[in-house]
Amino acid sequence: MLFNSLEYLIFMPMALAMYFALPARHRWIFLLIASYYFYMCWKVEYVYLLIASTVTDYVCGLRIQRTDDPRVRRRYLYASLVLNLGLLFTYKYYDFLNGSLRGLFASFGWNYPLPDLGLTLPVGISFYTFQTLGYTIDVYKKRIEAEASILRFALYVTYFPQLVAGPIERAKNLVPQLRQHFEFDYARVRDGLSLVVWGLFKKVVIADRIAEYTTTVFSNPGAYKGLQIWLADYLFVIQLYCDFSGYTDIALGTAAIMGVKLMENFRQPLLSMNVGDLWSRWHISLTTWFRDYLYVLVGGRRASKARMNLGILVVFLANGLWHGAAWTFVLFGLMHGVCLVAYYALRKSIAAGYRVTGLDRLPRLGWLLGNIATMLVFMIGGNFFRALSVEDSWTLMRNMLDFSGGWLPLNLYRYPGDMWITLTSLVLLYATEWLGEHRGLGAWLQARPRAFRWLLMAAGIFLIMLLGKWDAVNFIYFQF
Amino acid sequence: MDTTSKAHWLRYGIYAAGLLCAFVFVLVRIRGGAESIIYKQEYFNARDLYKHNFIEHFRESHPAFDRPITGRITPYRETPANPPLAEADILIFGDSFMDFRWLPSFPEILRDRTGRRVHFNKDYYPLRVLGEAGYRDQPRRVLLYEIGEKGLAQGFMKPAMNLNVRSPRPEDRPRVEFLKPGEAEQRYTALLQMSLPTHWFYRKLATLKFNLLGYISPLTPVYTLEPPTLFFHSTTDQSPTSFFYRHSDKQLDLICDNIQRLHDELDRRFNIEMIFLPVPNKITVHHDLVFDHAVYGNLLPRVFAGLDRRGVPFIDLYTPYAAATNMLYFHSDTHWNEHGIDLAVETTRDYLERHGWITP
Repeated sequence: MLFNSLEYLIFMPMALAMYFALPARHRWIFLLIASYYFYMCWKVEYVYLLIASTVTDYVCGLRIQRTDDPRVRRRYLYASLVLNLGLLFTYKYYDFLNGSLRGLFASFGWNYPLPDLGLTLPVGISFYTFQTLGYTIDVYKKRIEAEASILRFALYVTYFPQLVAGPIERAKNLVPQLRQHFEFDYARVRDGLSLVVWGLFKKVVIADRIAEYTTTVFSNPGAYKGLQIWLADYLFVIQLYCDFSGYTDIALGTAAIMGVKLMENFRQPLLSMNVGDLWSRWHISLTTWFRDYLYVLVGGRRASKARMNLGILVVFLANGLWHGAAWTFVLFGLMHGVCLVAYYALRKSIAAGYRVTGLDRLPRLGWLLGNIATMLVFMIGGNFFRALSVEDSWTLMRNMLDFSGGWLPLNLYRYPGDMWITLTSLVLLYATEWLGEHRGLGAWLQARPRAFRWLLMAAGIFLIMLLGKWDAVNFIYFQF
Repeated sequence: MDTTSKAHWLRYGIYAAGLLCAFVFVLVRIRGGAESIIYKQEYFNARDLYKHNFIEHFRESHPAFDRPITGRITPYRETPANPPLAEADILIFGDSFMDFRWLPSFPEILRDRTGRRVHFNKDYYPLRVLGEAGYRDQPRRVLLYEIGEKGLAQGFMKPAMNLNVRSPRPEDRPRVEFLKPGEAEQRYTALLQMSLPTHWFYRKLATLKFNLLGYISPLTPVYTLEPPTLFFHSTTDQSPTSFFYRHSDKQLDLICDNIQRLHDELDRRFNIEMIFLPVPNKITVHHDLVFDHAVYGNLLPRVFAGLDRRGVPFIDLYTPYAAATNMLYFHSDTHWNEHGIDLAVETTRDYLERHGWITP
């Protein structure tokens, strides 16, 4: 079920009404049923993967907690790793690896016998397997207690607002909240609803409109060049952000109405001033997951510089692969890893350069230069992320430097008016980013008169209906 | 208003919204639920291309609605006037072109003008239908196999069009359904567009979007406002069902071979003479409304030439339609209008007379 579908707009009020109508102690059971229904609306038969992941990590968590024997504890940890990563490998990476090996064999003229599995990628598998894995590792590291009730644990795995596209929640944050009895709170419900409207606006008005432009360019990269590709790259950054953060806002808003505070997933990434800053603001639940569970394994911050850099590259390689089983995603991850390593290596020189040129006395200009450089990295990364193949990525790279042929049309929208809507939306988006960064968007809104807030809400809903693209375009992050 | 009162109102607002949504949730899952309770027949039976948009400029008056409508009108095929297969003089198998609900349909008019008993079955698979009905040892009959030009290119390029398994009819569906996401979304959308409480608002919004930004459904990207006329996307794009598409000789042979196979099988197994009756796409006839120098892929004339070589009988509606000067299709619908039906019936009657199937 997509958040930007009528199906969800019918499901959500039903679920919320039922949630508040039920006695507080029974609500979690209803939420569990609703969450399974939510998932099964996509593909009934894939629910067994959810159940397999849930049962395995529930059992492993309990077994790990019940013994102090390190061998037994490790055995159950490995069992969880094998099952979760095995599921992920089978459904997401097997065909990619197989295809790559087949290509390699073919280049030597050898026969490669193994066929592809051709399995449909289960929606949200990368999210819920990482969530359950995180739980088992936390129990193993004795950071949390294992959950005694399998049904409550199942709710932690399947909690519908964040089931299919995150945030990848930590058991430490979510499980205690799912046990709590929340009273109906006006301010919380109001803020949650506002967040849902804002998320929907970002998705259907901004992201899905831009999707038309970027699809035109990225599906036929050879036909465009110069500024057309630069603009498509920039718009893709905005699309990706509005698409994913729009989903996250709807998830956070829906959960907030029910009293649950999900973790923050984005913190004004468009205002980042360097690559390190970008990754501390972008998809926070994933980057912190990699930091907590993978980066520490390969050295962490206490390791030597070389080891630390190697750790960064490994983490970003994994990050790229997490996003998709294709060489384009591997290159996307590696590119960001290399940029981050380079930034850490050069940041003292950059600071010195700022001092020498006097930019340190002009912090806004310094920020602007840093922001432009960061966006450039993100845009070029987008050439890998969005391209349909590595060849397409190189075509885009080559063509973006080709300014021959004079002034080419930049408005590639089917409806020319969409360019103006996009530009206006960008102003609005940057204004909210700025407000969020410097004043706190919620606090700023609360300081406005009530009439203004109601007007804003009504205008938001009206604009979603008037300008929204309602062809139920999938959220980009559903494919991960 | 203090916070407690606001919380009170908001809470009951959520309950009310939840109840309403639960009602809608159940409604779309019960077979016929939404249609019988909320849809207004006028919206439900509006022109099919207009229904993709509900933009007021394309709202075309429906002759049947000029008089008061009392309940649902049963299509001809479901009335006692539609004789059983074995008792009919002329059999017609075809699609929605033959199946008008609110206006006299092709089979009824043909019946009235020829004085013959005409059986109509809305189905593309006569071999299967006749076999299932136990049709055998009957005198020689004629069967008009009607198919839209769009369906012709789509269906007969598959090797075994005439033996395909039928998809279940709506009435064969279970009473209460577990809907797949796509189906649920479609039904919610239909409800939003056509239910009494929401239709007006939906129509106004669609019209505003069209006026302000030019938005129109991707299903009808080609249109004109003088006079307001819509065309279906798959007849105007680059696909094999399009006006522009030039089929290869190999594709054309495949289409004609499949038609011939259907013709021969009906003859061999049921002693039936099949006459192929393709209906031109609206754009094939009225392309001059939207294109200045469009070149037709020439599917119908090429199919007719192929059928001629194979000795398969056919009725050519393309030639009289192309020569006609008036509008033969509804402006906001893919189907023919009264003039189109009239010309089609006359052409058919003339053909049947010339070939001795009916006497003048």
